[in-house]
Amino acid sequence: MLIEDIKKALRIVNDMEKKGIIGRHAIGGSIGAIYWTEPFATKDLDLFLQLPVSREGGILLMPFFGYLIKRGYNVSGQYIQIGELMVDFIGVYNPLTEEALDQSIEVSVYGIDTHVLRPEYLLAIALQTGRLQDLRKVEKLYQESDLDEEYLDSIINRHNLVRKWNGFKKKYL
Amino acid sequence: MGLKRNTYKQIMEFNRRTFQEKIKRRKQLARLPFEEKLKIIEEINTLSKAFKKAK
Repeated sequence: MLIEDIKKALRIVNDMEKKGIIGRHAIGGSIGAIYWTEPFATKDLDLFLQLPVSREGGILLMPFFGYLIKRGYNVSGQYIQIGELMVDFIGVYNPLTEEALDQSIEVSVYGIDTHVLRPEYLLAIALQTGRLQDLRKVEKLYQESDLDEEYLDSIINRHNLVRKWNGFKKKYL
Repeated sequence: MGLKRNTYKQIMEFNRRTFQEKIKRRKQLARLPFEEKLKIIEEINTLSKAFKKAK
C-alpha cells in the first residue's frame, strides 16, 4: 500500500543519510506538490538527494547503488520499486535543484523525519522541466498553495525563468 | 443562432462563479494534513485499480 511504501522509502533514505551514503534528501515531484495542494492520483515518489563527491570531483554512485542492491531492491536506472511505489532518486542536477534542496523544510511524516521542497521551488522546477504533466503542477501550486509571490519572483529571476514564467502566465493563468 | 447579450453575460458570470468555487474547494483540500492527503491518494489508487479490473 502507498502509505506503507512511502514510510519504507523514507526510512531507507534516512538510513543512507545516517551512514553518509547520501547528503540531505527532500520530497519533490507530485508527492512534494501534494504536500501543498489538493491530493491527486500518483504512484511515484521523487526524492531529491545530495550525492557525495570524490576528491577528484566525481559523484560517488557506487555506495548508493551498492546499498540498495545489497538489500535486494530492484534498481532500474535511478528508480527502485518499493511495493507499488516507484521511487525516483534524483541527484541535484543544477543550481535551481541544489538551492531547492538546501532550502527544503523539515517535516515529520508518520513520525519519520524528512524534508519537503518549498512550493516556490517545486513550481520553478516544474516550470523549468516544462512537460505537460509539469505545467499542470505549476498551475496547481500557483492556485492552491499559499506560496510567497515575492520569494517565487526572486527564484524565477535568479534562475533565468522569466520568459517561461511570463509565457505560462499569459497562456494559463 | 447567436445568444442574446444578457444570456451570454449570465453564462459568463455562472462560469466565473463555478471556477471560483472550484478553486475555493481545492484550496480547502490543500489545507488538509499531509497524512490525510496520502490516505486519500491511497483510496484513489485502490478505486482506480478496482475500476481497471472491472473493465
